[in-house]
Amino acid sequence: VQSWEKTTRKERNNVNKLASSNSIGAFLLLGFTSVLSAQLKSSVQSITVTAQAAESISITIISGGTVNFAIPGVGSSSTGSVVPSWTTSWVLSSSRTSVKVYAYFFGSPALMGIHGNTIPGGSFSGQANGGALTSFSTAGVSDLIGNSSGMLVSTTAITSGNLTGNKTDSLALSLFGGVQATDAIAADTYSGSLLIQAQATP
Amino acid sequence: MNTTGLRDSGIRPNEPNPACTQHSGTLWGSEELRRQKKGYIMYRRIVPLKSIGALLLLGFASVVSAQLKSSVQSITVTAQSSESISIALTTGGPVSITLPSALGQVSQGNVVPAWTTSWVLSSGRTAVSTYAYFVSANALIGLNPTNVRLLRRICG
Repeated sequence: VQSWEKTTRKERNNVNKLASSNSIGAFLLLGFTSVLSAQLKSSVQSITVTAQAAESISITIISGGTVNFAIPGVGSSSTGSVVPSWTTSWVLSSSRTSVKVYAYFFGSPALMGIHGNTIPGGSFSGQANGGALTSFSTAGVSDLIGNSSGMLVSTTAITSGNLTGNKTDSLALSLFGGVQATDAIAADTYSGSLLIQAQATP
Repeated sequence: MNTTGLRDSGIRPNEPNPACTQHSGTLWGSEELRRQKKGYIMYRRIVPLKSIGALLLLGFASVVSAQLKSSVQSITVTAQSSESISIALTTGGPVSITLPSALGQVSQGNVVPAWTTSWVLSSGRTAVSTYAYFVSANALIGLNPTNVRLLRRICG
């Protein structure tokens, strides 16, 4: 009897051991399966992405592409046949603080006659956007260009709110006939080009 | 055994310097020299690179701060004036002349007429001349046709 009991106890222990081993094996298998089915991720590599937009500023003539004058007598002025207008458009960086628009005659003289007579730029004046009449001068456009006669038409302050923007200007032109007889504009047929240019600063 | 009385650093000639973490195990002196030489060469390489970098930075800053100008748009301006010349009387007539009572005598008009000539000319002109004249051969005609006389000797 004792031998039987000993044998039975031993078998029971074996059964318990086997059961424990099976449990451990099941756990290991589950873990192994979990490892096999886990998502595999690489390390991260980086690609730099940049985007640039170059600054730009341009002018489009809206009206008054040709302005005609009757030559005034001494001591009087004549106004242009039309008032030219144009739109300045810009795309600027945040470093810009202003956009200035100028009108000027490049070099000297402003107008050339077919008989060789000339009209200097200083004989012209402009009324920008209905403002005060301003005489053309070299000083008026010295910030833009040298040895030319003209005037500053408008200044627009640039802020974060108008880095992309536009402005329409107009300029009524006048031609002065001179103070004295020696300044009189000779009879002739004259032509020249009034240039419009914008500049963003600084 | 330290017989100098100075504190023993523990470093012996021809032994690695334990304070030098990058020591390769060669002689301490020659390794230091080699590192100094290497450092000098690196310095010589870095200085020009720094200069180039500074120039590039300067150029970049210059581009960034350059004034931006639009292209130029043109408006044609013309002015015309045809030539003109005109006369305006400042002291007009009539001028009355008493007929000379005898041959060889001269009578003067009672007023001296005056006028202003104005002109706008092209540069091709060289002179302006002003004339006074009677339009027909008979300067004056009397009321009595039978007493028609030619007054040809009116002078100015």
